[in-house]
Amino acid sequence: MLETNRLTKRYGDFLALDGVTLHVPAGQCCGVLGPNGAGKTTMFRLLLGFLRPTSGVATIDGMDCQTRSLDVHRRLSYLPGDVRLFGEMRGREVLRFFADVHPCGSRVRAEETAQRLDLDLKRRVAFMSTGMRQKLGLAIALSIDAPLLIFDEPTTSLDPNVRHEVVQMLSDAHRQGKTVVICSHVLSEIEDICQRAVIMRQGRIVHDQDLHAMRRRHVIRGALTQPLPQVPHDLTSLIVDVRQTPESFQIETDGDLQPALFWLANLPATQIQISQLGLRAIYNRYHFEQPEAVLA
Amino acid sequence: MNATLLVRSFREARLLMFGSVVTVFSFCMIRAWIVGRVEMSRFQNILEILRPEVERYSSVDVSQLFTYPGRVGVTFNEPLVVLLMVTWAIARGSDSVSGPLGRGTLEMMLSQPISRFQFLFSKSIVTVMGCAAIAIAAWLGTHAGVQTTMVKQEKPPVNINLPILNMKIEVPFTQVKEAPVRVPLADFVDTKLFIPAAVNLGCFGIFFAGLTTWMSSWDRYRWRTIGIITGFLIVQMIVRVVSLAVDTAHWLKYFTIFTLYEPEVLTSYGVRYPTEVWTFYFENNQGELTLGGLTLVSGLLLGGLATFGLGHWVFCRRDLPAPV
Repeated sequence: MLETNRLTKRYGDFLALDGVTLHVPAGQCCGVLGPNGAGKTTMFRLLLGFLRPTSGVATIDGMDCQTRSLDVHRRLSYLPGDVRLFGEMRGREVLRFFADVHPCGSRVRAEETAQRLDLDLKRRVAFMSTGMRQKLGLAIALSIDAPLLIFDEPTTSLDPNVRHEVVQMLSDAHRQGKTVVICSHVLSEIEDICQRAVIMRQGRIVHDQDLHAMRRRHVIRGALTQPLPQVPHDLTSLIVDVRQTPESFQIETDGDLQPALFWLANLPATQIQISQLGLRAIYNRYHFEQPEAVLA
Repeated sequence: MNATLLVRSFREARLLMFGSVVTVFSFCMIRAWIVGRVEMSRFQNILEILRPEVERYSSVDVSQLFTYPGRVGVTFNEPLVVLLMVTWAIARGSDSVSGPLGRGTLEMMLSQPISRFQFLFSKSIVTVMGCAAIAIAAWLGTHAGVQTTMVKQEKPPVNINLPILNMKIEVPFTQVKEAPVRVPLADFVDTKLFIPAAVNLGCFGIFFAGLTTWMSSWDRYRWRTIGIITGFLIVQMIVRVVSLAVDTAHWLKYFTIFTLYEPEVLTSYGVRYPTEVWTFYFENNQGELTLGGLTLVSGLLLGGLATFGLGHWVFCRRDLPAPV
């Protein structure tokens, strides 16, 4: 559904996107993670044809995002990171305008979505709070029945109740077979909704994580009384990473933990904690640890 | 053409359009009424005192200004009329691209299946319609003013010329007792004479709207677009004044757009050369080649359309950065 091939965007000396190659098959829900300036929004803007790539190609449903942007836009619904709408119009008028403009739009669906998000449609956009404007943007974007949804930070400025509702609606869209690409700084949302997470850093994709596979992985931490013994040969395929200091250790496993439990129980360690490997831990590897360590 | 988009463009411009149309209509009507209030003989006396200055800065013969059509025709060159047209053109032109880009509304709009050309074209159509509406309102206001204004008419006694003595003598008892009488201004002024001036005004607006749209199409800040065009307007006005005031700088007239905005000249053509108004050039009574109304109007119109075209070309190819 969505494909980029060595997509690059350069502004003078600044490389905003550096040869990004990404393939999101139809029906997949993919989260894009990264700190500010990592290139997420630049990638989205290239996909929408707002920016011209310095090199590389982006296609959606096989159509070039530059040369066939109109056809591409008919197949997608986009929510920008900073929703700004026509200040002089009322919420209902804005919804109707966008429902009329998009071939996959519907006034009824738009109003239903707004109702679900508890949005006051009588108010003029100029008098709406940031959260209300975000809800209005979401009502527009979620009411468009397009096969691809590209949402840039959809839950920014929302209260926990609405945030939960939005996550639910995105999950519903995904269940209906739509392709969803979300950029968010809220890692738990990506874990809840997506099947896959792509981590970006300095304009590059530095990690592509299958979240189903991630959920099978565990981290075992504890305090050491003696150095760790050698990992038994039959567990080498299960234990993928071992790190230790004189006082503590961290073991990462990939797969069913049951075969390793006996070995773990006999380790010269105290305060053993077993937890599922979260997206936070993976994200931190690429953004908080030393680059050398990440590469190693 | 996307009707929803066109309605939206009209909707966001309608208040300014309505305000400009009402103001220009009222002003032109009042201006015609004021012309009727000032007696021709007094007006002539004032102008005679200032004749050298007026001749220097006026594009038309001073004698033209002693006539009612000439005086009413000056309406189209009044600063308020020109300012209203330019304000509309700059306000709407600058809101084509840099306005919505800066406000951030462009992003959501262009993520819909709307081409950039469609988006800008719908805005440009409304801008051009507004220029036409203001020009029509200026003419209608003048027409309404002329139709509703009465002027004092002196009826002097009949004089006869004695050929051999070369003397004028007054015929007794020919002075009209009830004079001065009030007669409609419409008896002296045919408002059809001002149609070329109104067309000239409309094309002047289209030129500035096109130029502003072009500037707006590559810019990301509306205030900067407005600043550039306002600066251009001021420079053009200074060049115009200098070209008229300094004999050695007469050639500067080729570098100001105001050379093509001559509503009074077009009105005077209507009076003196009625068949030559809509020509590119013609030979005047002194045997000099003179630019016709078609040159003035088409120069502005082509300039406007070319800059609108450039604006569309630039906008369809540029990068659209995220709103600040």
